[in-house]
Amino acid sequence: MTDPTPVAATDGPPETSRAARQPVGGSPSNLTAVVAANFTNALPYILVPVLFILSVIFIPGYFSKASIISLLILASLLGLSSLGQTMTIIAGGIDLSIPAVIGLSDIIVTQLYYKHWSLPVIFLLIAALAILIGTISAVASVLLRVHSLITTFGMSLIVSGIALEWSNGAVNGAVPGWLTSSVSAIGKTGPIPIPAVIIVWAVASVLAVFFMNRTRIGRETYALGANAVAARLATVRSTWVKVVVFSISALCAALVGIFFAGYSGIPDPTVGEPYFFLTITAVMIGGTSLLGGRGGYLRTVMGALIVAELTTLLVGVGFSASFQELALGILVILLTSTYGRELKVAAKI
Amino acid sequence: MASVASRQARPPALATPAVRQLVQRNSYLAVPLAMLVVLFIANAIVQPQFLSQQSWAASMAVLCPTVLTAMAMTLPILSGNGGIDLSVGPMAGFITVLIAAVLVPAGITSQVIIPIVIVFGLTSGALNGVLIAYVRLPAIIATLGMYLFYQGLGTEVLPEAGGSVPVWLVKLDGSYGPIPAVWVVFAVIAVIWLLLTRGSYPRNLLSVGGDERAAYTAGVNVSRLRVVTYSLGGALAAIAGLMLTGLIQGGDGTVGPPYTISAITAVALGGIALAGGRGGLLGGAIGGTVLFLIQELLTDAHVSVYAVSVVNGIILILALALNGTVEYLRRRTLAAKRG
Amino acid sequence: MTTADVASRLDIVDLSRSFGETKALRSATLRVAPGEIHSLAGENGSGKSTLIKILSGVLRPDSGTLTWEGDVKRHLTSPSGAQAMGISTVFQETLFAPEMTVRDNIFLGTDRLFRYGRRKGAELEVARQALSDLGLDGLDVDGPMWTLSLAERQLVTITRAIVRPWRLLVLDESTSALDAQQRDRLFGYLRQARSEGKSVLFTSHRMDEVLGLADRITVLRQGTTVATLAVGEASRRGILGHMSGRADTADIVSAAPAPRREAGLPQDAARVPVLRTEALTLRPSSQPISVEVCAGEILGLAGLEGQGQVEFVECLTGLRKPVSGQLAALGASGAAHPVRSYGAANRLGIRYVPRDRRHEGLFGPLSVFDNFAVTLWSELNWLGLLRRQQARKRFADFAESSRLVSASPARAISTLSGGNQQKILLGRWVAMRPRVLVVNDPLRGVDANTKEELYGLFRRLAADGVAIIYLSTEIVELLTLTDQVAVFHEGSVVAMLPSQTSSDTDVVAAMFGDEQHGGTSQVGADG
Repeated sequence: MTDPTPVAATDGPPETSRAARQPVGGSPSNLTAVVAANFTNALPYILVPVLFILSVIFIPGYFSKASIISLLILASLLGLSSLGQTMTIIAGGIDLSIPAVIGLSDIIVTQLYYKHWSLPVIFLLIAALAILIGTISAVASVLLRVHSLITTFGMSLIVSGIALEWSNGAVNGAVPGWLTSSVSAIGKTGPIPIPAVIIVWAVASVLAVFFMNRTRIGRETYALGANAVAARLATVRSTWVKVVVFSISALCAALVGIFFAGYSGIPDPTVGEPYFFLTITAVMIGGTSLLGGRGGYLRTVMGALIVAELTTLLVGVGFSASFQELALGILVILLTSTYGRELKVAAKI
Repeated sequence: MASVASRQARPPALATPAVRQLVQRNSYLAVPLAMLVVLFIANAIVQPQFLSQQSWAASMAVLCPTVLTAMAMTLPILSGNGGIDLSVGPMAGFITVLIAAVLVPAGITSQVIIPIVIVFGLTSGALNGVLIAYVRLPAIIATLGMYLFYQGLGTEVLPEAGGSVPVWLVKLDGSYGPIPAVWVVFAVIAVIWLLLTRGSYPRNLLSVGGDERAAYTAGVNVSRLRVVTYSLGGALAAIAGLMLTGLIQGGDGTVGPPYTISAITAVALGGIALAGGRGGLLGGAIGGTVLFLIQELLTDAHVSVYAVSVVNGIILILALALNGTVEYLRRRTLAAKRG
Repeated sequence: MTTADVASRLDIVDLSRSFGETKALRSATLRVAPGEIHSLAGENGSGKSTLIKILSGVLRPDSGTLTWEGDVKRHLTSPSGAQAMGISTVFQETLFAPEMTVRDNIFLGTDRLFRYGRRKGAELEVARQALSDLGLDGLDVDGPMWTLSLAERQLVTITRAIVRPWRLLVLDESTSALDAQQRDRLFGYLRQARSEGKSVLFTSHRMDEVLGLADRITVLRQGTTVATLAVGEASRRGILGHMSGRADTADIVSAAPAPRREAGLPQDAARVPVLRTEALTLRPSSQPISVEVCAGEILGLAGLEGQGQVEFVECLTGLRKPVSGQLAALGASGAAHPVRSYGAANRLGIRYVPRDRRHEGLFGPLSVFDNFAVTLWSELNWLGLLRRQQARKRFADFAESSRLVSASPARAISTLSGGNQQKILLGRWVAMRPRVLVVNDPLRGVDANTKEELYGLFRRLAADGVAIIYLSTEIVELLTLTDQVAVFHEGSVVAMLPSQTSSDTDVVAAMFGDEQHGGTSQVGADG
């Protein structure tokens, strides 16, 4: 007799074991644990204002429009990069190709604009490439029965190789002026004295939350991440969901690459490198579980704000980049200890 | 019941249980070994000096940290439940800083560095293990935190590459007579691992990786096993750092990250299941060697540095595809034989 | 043996344990004597599994005492601690490491972390003996676990428990995957152990097992021990009564599943076939199966474990390709649409409720509503946007018709009892208005009351014209709920028994391949 069904047997290992790791009965014992669980759920939302207040206390001149805007720009860039990442994580996967796509997008914008290509064409090209990259990652993961961690990892090697090759030796690049002001602290969006990147982030956030909660694909994403086997049996369009979320992730990364191009104006394929882990950090700190099937983009928005605030706080207090990294490492561990803990083995039985 | 027996595939007459166990335990190495042989021959053809003694020693020296970090990554992955150690690279990088910028300037230049480094690795690994097994952080997060910590610490202590290393350490990348010194290192590790495999640790490790709940309810101390596993991984990463120090002849806090990436690739190339429960340390070693040989081949063929990155990515995906397909076919044929 | 004054091996008094707001155990009392087989009876949610987890060292109680062979303990420290004391537990979920050999799985946990040397020959002998006792002589102990069938795996986990020196063996629904023969051998082993002075504590939803095997029975209801009876004092009704709290036996009688509706199958003229198999062959060596299922018909599938009924179900739902033969869904005009894939089956209105709730059905982190509506969104959406109002209405309708315990749909599904979870999983497919509903042992491990409610649901569905294919391992359930039962043996249908006129014995006989014993034994008889 065969058990499990052929449907289950074709799934890659990480997804099938996830079902067993999810709690299906029982929750933490006793009342204090329940209170603690609720508190830790709300912690990201609490930390955002708390960190802000700490920053105001410890950094002179922090409470000014310029520094708040700078903070929001930082958060916007991280938040946008993490938008797709949130979805891929909820779907039970992960996207490690975000920095590579950011770099590629940066290269394409700066170099092609320098060569007088028209902007709409450049953007279309970048979008098409992003969708292609995301689709390949997703389809490869399905066909090869392999976790997207690996396929996106492989794609990142491929894409960054291409980006490096393309930009080999090139130092010339140009970007339109409005792009530069979109990420500048003194930039405006029309009459509003806020740089465009922040507005774009705000709009994107609303769309993302709406997408996850009110569309069929959004709900299917949660189902897929919660239990891939049951999702297939429940006629969830698993492959399509993966293609969509990974394409969105790549598109967001491409968008951030365009903004980064606005920052510096010169081609820099490595500009996305810090984001290799920062997007995962933002998602995790926001409280979305790496296990999949739970969380949401609003949490990542909080996470991005927290990471931006922490970075700003550390810089403002005078810590070097090295120390920041060190401190970030410790903070990641500490914060996750409060609200990102996994179940005990005993609780999974 | 007759039907029970008939549904089981009858083992071939010559295979004693010991031989069968050996084959079964190591069947995951089939594809990696094939790749190893092919690449070795390819390298020898493209670059005949590859087989020369000097080239041999130099190759081994470069290979060493890659293989050791791959082995360091293998153990946590085998333990399952999302086990991984992202900090292997930065920790190895930090060891170079520790030796070149802390120990040597403090006057510690003799071979006593070796046990110091190993103890450091064991402790760091144990910390990872505690965070994962007792504090119950997801492994990717805990080791990510440690990754950032070591990166930051390394570049904070030694902002620019430099420092000095004792001569004996540099010599480790040379040869003692015809034998590359690195082989001694590998031999020692092999002996230690062989001793371990005679005992119950690998069995317990693979059982926990297979299903930690089964292991737990059967009485295995899963948490303690995880701490031990990450400690051993940490020790291996530390030794990688030691050899790396000799290779770059100094300290450099930035050399770490590529080794984390190559370690993951190597584990995949080594036929090890990323979900845990299947594979072994040898897979990590072979995977690391395969990766090294691929790099060599590409360099010999004068492929541009960037194209190498692209090829690495493709190789990774293909290796996993192959792995996954072989697994799938294996299960299908075995299930079909059962009727 | 009276219930009082029994020298005890295990004495549990007033045990309690909560999970957050849920009180799984309030006041559990249990006493197991040496040389006794003791049954722990109770509905889903009565606290049985929690009690067993405490006994095996997985959980700690909040309060109460546990006395083991005279020593009072606050709690058991860990699974290995419990084993060291002599308590061996087999859990409800069959736990094993798939890539490890059978032998390694049997001896799992018996080594310390770094024990030296291979296993001694004597140990292996013990394992072989144990396997033989349980009827697994021919098993290849050096093969990987994942090649074994569900029943073999369960028996291996039982072997794991008995190869350690034990004085109390705890079995939590450990016969759920076994067939009648395997069960009998296990019981034989248990009785032998009892005569050696060992104790056994087991739980089972099968009343015949409880009454046939146990010496004494402790009944839990809502976390409290409500009765302890010697088997001589107990009756099926009495036990069910204690479990459900319905003291009036008249209630019990009416609660027992009523015989199949008197109207029986629709008259020939009104019969509308909806599904047809033509010479469907499941295995190279089995007979072709040609069956026709009509609207409103409930076809039962029975058989010993691994005899092909699950493969048949998988073929019907497009999850598996048969060795040969055709399967077609029949449209209103009689047009035949071949079923070639799972997606195609669903599009044709064939809906499948899988057996393994946890791995194949539930979305643990999601809410009750999400678990219910996941299949609906394909229908209830406008350009991808969800029609939530309509979905909520369907949920409300279903909750009413299945008498779902009134739960806010936003609650996490993990907070529902097993029986209610099963209702939601059924509802997911029922709400899709299927033409053919294929269910794979849907009421396994579900308590008697929920079963009753769901029987009603199935009957109403059939009355509405839904064809139901019902696979079950409980013969009584099949005979009372279905119109006819197809009995499988070695991949072929060896008998098609009309449920109204067949008896348990007829079905069992057919299961064992005995064609002489009553009922129609024509292969492939349709209706």
